[in-house]
Amino acid sequence: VIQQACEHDEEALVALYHRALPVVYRYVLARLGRPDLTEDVVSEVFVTMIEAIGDLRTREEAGFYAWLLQIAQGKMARTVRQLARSHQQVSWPGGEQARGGSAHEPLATDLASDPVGLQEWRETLQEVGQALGRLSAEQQVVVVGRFLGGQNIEDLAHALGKQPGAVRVLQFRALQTLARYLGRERGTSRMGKGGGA
Amino acid sequence: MKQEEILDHVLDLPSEGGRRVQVEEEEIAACVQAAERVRALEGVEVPAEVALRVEQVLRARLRSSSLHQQQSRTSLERADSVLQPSRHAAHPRARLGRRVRLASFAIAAALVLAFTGLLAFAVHMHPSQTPSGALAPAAQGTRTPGRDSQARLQTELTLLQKALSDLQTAANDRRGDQALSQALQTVAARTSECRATAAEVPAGNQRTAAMKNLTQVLTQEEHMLRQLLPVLDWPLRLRFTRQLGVLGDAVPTVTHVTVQVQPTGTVLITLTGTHFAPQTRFILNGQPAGQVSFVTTQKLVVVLRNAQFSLRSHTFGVLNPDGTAAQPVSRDDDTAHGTGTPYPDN
Repeated sequence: VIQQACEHDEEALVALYHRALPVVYRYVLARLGRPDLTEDVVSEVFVTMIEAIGDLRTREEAGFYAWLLQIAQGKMARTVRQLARSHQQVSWPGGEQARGGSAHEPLATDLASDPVGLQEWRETLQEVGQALGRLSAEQQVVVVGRFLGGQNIEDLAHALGKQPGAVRVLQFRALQTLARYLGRERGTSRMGKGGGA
Repeated sequence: MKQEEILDHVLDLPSEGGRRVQVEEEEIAACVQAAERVRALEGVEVPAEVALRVEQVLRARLRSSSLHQQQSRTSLERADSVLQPSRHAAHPRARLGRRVRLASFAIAAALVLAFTGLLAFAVHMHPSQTPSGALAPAAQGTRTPGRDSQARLQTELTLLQKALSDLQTAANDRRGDQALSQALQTVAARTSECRATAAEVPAGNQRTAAMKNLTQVLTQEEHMLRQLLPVLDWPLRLRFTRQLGVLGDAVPTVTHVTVQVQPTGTVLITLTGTHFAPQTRFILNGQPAGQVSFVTTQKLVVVLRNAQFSLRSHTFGVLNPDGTAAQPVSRDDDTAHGTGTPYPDN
């Protein structure tokens, strides 16, 4: 499919889009926290994909994901800069968008009728998104490619032009950072709730 | 073995019901937990309407870029054929030698001869076309809109059939609610795309044939959705019902709910909507509850004991005997995920 897509075959490109959409959408939503911005950024990512796919050197899925996630990082950075310039809330407003129950609410299937579970789910999404922001761009590609894109270390190493051992180290350090940050956030969150009660 | 290798090994182990094997080393255990938290993002569903909108943007971009490339090529070819004689006309003024002029003349003559031959061949192959029609290369290169949309519809129908097949596979393999939901989203997006493309086919025989093909596939979709209904959980059942409604089936909807606490120690719940069947059941928090005391196609009255009901959040719904289901759509969320919790009237 990647080969056909590189030759600008419309159906192959759309098939690739459908395959990669959940990974890109989840990553961007987690990082930006705003479904309205997420749709715009995701749309830009895939428009760039169809415009630049001819430049893609790899024909492997891991390489394709790595390339797409790097495009997403660039688009997110630009969006954040634009919002900062216009003095708007950049990410995770923690209020209206995340809790307002808008039509674009990022839902988990089985939480539709469980308000408490839904609230915990939103908190998880917010914490993970903020924690991912603590990682380097390369670490983010490894973590998202591995745990959301389902790629293995060898394929990611090939995609990033590194040795598998180096990618394992990247993964280990990234998860250490995430663990530290998520542990702290959870602790803070619980303390906050306890203090308020 | 290094820590990062142990971690990678543990991460590759299959999880059993969401629980990974016990990891003794604290740091690695924390990393595994962090990885699980990232994996939790897989619970985020891509809204079907977002997926469809982005796909439409991409298709429009792809078509405009291929049309642009086609037009650019045609313009270049035209420019070449127009510029060719003028280049040769300008050269004599630039003191070109006689040989060059002769060569140019010979090339021009050869081009004219070749062109005349091609023209004669074109007229011979298409006797119904006038020579002026055969002289329009741009018109030859472009496809008629009707044929184009017909071809696209065929592609879309193939993709819809593929999406239906994926949905059936997800159900057969018992891949879980999330996979089924994702597969249904794709089916819904494909259905919508098929309908939009069919609407672009110009009226006439082509359109009649296109609509016939579309109806066949949509009937197949309807049968599949109905066949899967009995095995679905409540939230998925609502989604499948909604898609059946999109296909034009008479499916139940709930537009309004009132709750009245009676002095007799019971609660009277009245649901207003459409397409309630005579044997419709009332569903409270995903489970059948109460005694239906009155039902028409648009109204359902249920009596609950006070013990079954409290004023905290509830999800009300109806379940028709054919397996279709509905619950109220909250104001904030038109995707029917809302709890639809009404306030008591008294």
